[in-house]
Amino acid sequence: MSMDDIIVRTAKLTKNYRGRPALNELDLELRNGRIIGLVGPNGSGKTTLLKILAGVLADYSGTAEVLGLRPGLETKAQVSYMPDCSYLEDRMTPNDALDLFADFYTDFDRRRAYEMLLAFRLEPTQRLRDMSKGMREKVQITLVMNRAARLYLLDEPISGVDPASRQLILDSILRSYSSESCLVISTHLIHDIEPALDEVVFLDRGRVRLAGNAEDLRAESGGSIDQLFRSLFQSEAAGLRELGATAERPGFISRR
Amino acid sequence: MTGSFDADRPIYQQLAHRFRERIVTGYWQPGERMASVRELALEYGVNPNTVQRALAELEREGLAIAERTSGRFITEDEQLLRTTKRQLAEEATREWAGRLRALGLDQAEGARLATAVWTDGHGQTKENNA
Amino acid sequence: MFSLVLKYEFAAWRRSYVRFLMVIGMVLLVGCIAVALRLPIVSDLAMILPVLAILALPVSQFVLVVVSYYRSLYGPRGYLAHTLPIPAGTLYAGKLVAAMTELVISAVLMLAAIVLTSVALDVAARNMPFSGLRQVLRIIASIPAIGRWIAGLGLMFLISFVANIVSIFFAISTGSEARWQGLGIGGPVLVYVLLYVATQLLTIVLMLALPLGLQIDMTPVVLAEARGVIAMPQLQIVTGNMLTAFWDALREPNPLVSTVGLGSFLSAPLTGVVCAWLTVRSIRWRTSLR
Repeated sequence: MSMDDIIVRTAKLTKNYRGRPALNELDLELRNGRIIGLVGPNGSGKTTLLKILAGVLADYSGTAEVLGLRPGLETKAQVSYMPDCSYLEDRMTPNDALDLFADFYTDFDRRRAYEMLLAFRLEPTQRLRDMSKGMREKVQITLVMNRAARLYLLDEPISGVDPASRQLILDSILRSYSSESCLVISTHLIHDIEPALDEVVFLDRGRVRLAGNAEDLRAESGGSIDQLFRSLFQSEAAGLRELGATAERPGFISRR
Repeated sequence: MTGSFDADRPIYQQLAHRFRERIVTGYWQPGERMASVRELALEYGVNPNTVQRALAELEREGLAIAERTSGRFITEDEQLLRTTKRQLAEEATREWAGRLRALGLDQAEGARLATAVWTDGHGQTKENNA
Repeated sequence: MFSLVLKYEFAAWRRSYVRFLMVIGMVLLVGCIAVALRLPIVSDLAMILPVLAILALPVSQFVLVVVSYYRSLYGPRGYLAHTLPIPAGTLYAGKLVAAMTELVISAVLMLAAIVLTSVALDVAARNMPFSGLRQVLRIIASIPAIGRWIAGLGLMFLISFVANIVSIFFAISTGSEARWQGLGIGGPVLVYVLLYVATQLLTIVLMLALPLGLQIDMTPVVLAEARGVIAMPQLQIVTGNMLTAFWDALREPNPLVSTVGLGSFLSAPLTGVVCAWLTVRSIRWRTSLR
């Protein structure tokens, strides 16, 4: 295992949307060499956190650092971000998009991306506007996963695609894994990605509800992360007091 | 992905178990160089660090030997392979016996059933998960 | 990096505009042919087509510039624009230069459309092609010192035009910041209105504060008109307190001679520079995509 670097650090990170907190004094530390599942119900702040780290949301208070820097030009070259919307021009083709990434990102592997497009059975010269939502998502994941970035931020990468393609996406995530980088996947479909995760962060109303090593969490709760998620957020009143101790731990500490 | 995992046990333990099965059945030959962590992670659809953890388990048991530069190899210690195989078999038998006992069968009935099923050729299920 | 940004700006422009340009070209062509054919009634009605095409060229391009600035930076596509490792200044400069270039191209196309239409009218009137155009040019050329006038007015127009685009970009970027976000598209509109009022106030202040004025004497124009020719007014730079000059003009209006504070000409470039700087800062540090 390589040296432990902090890739992401937030302290008291807060973001309000018209008075309603999306992030509420969030303290978090994410290190390299890990695939991290960012889970939580709708409105728990997953998307907002990823936006801030990607540098597309500047209006926050508290600290947010990527590789020790405030998100900005310097971090963008090292961050590979996939938002949960379609961010490519309708009239572009996958080939155009590949060219664009090859032009702007020195760490983009165009050949591998092209192979992935074909694996997804996408037509490289078809216009995006003639594609379904799921197909467009595949184009975007192809772009994002074929960079050699230090931080990957994937906002719901698998929710809109068919099960066979989910497997391809998971493969590409595992393939892009390196001990130098940190990969954050936000999702509410934990079941599908659970075996791929090192660590899990449960967000709830803009705070870390529970965080830790996936294997440890499974051992502690005696079930899958998916079951843990359901029990955490579906039966709030259930006797989960013993998990409260873990939730109290500040931020996100790996226990490896 | 090579099979899915049970929710109630750590994935690395289940993974180590599957690796052991591959080793004792000769799917991975003694002295053979093992695939890389990344390749194994892709094959099983699991996190590379989980693979690492399972391999560490194998190394501790002596089933896999890490060489500093050239990678990781399957042990050539025949004695160890035999005892490991024996352990796995015992484990499976214990599990089987426990289930029969839970169904209310006694040892003699269990043994008879085992012989009958074995000769039917239905006994060879899930020998290895390849 | 700058040339790369330009390349993608023009690629996007080509993808979104060329088809529309071809439609305008077809309208123009059909209109001109119909006019030239001198068909009863049809030809008179058809004149509307080239006029529409001539107007549509700059207007559509202008709308495209504004809409695509907004959509590429603050719509869903903003997620791409703002995560590419492009310095904010380079991104902005690329968008501005591309927009100006596209507008110049549309102006050239508009001139071409005017020439084509005039030729169609020549044909309809059984004149030599280009004769109408030549006549207009001859009249323009006869005006004394017209070269300097064209250069001066052209420069002024260009500056105010660039300043206008700059202030629209400023309004869009600033109006999309978090504090205006609740207003949606109303944010940029509101910022633009506020900026417009501020610019007008600045213009008045500068006009009155700077002790330099431009005296415009309309006498040559009136004299030339009596002779049936065209001339431009006489200009002279004068010094003096513009505030008192303004009061004097209010009290005793002189229909032939008026003085404009030269400071007012500084307003457009000044706001332009400030707005450009603020826009880059907004893109760099204050982007808040919804």
